[in-house]
This record gives sequence, C-alpha cells and structure tokens, in this order.
Amino acid sequence: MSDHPHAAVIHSADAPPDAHANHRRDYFRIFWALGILTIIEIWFATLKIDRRAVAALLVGAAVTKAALVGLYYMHLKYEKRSLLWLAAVPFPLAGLYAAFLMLDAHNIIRAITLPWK
Amino acid sequence: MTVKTDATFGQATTGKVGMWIFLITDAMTFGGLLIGYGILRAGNKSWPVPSEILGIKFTALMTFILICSSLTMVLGLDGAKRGNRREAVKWLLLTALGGLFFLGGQVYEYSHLIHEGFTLPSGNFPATFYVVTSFHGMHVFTGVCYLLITAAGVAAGKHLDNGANFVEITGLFWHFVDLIWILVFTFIYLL
Repeated sequence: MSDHPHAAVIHSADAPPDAHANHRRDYFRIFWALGILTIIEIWFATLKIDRRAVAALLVGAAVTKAALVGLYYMHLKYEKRSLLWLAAVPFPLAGLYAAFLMLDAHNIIRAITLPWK
Repeated sequence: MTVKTDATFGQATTGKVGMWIFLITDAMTFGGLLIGYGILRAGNKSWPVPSEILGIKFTALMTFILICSSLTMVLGLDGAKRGNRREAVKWLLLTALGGLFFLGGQVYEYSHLIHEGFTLPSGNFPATFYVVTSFHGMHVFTGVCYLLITAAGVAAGKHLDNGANFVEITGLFWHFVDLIWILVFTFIYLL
C-alpha cells in the first residue's frame, strides 16, 4: 500500500466524483503557481543586484517549479515513498557533482585545451 | 489484461516504475549536458550574457505553452481515469498541439538566431545552446508522437483500464519534458 491516504483514490477509476474535483482544483492551482513563478523568474533576471544573488533566486524558483511538476503533475506526492526516493535522490547528487566540477572549471578547461596549444 | 504491481513501489505498476527509471537515466543525460555547459561557462570570463542574445520574452511564451500543455495532460488523464473517452482524447490532442506550437517556436527561434550569425560553430555558447535545446526539442517531438499514439488508442477504446495506467505513463514522459524545460529555461536563458 501507498504511504499517502490519497494514493488509493488517485489510482482508482472508481474514485468518488469529489476526489476527482479536488484533483482538478489542485491541477489548476499548480498551473497558476507555475505561471506566476515563471513571471517572477523573468523579473529576477532583470534585477540589478549581485549576479550570485540573482542566480540563487533563479535556481530556487526553478527547483520549486520542477518540484511542483514532479509532486503534483507526475503524482509523486501520492506514490509510495520508495518511488519518491528513487526519483528524488539523484537530483541533489547531480547538483553537488555539478557544483564541485564548476568550482574546478578553470583547471578542467585548461586540461581540455592543452593538447591543442 | 491485469498489470502486475510490486510491493516495493506500492500501487505503481511495473510500466510506471520502468518509465521512472528511464526518466532518471534521461535526466542524467540532460544533467551531463547542462554540467558541460556550466563548466564551459564558469571557465570563460568573457562568456556572453544570454539575455542580450536570446529572446527572453519569446522563450517565456514558449515556456508558458509547455506549462499549459502539462495542465491539459493532467486533465486528459483525469478524463481517462473517469472513463470519459471523449474528454481524454480532446485534452490529449490539445497537449500534442501545445507540443507542436513549442516546436514551431523553436524552429522560428533557431532561424532567427542563425540569421543573426549565432550558428553552431560560432562559439562555445551557441554550440552548447543548440545541443541542449535541440536535444530537448527531440524529446518534445517524441512526446508529441507518443501523445498522438496514446490519443488514437484511447479513441479506439483502449488504455482506459487499470486506472488509465497507459495514459498516466504517457503523461509522465510529457511532464518530464516540461520539467526539463523549466531547468533549461533557467540555466541557459535567464542565468
């Protein structure tokens, strides 16, 4: 069985009509949230503040949007925890991997370009 | 036909778990491309400001179209779960139409950029830009084909059994395409 009480509802074709109405309402809420976050992102990109702060704001907004799509539209919120972990664990690891590689970007670029120098 | 489930993943069918595993491997491919872009950018102090070259407002519109198509996808799934074949087909076709609009926008964007001299061999930024966005575009094209095949099946009276499992798996792929674009839009266009 799933960990979430709604899981049985979302996967059942025999779910009561009000459960479907609730899901439809959630779908529209997430749609508006994604639209508003996109507008906020574009506003963040125009801010004349430190670029690192802008980058942090943009990455935060993008991760929030991606999480909303994953949790509500891809129904991870209603799946068993094991499936949620299966999907969620690689992403922070990839982020860490990217961060470490980018910190060393100058050395990597030099190593790549050396044979042609 | 009854679809088997595994206790490890609760009520998720083997097909759904299989699609999730595929999506994770596909995400790693996108991750590799984005990391490559990040390394090249971080190692180059004269990297151009993307918003000065790329049309942010136009791409924001394309992003909004993909978000709309994600909404129509879940509405199609909702219709399929209720056994409403007509509604499911309508929303699935609208989702595919959203994908086609997105692809049309991408063709327009590419032709405009190429006309401006922003071509694949003209630098690291254009090279990585075209590789990442065209790889995503190929996913959108695959998703449109997948949606049309699913819609045709639903119209023929298939795919509504097992809680519309087939339609839900199609939706997973489509939402993944949307999710990846959210990240591509931020990392390549806005940052």
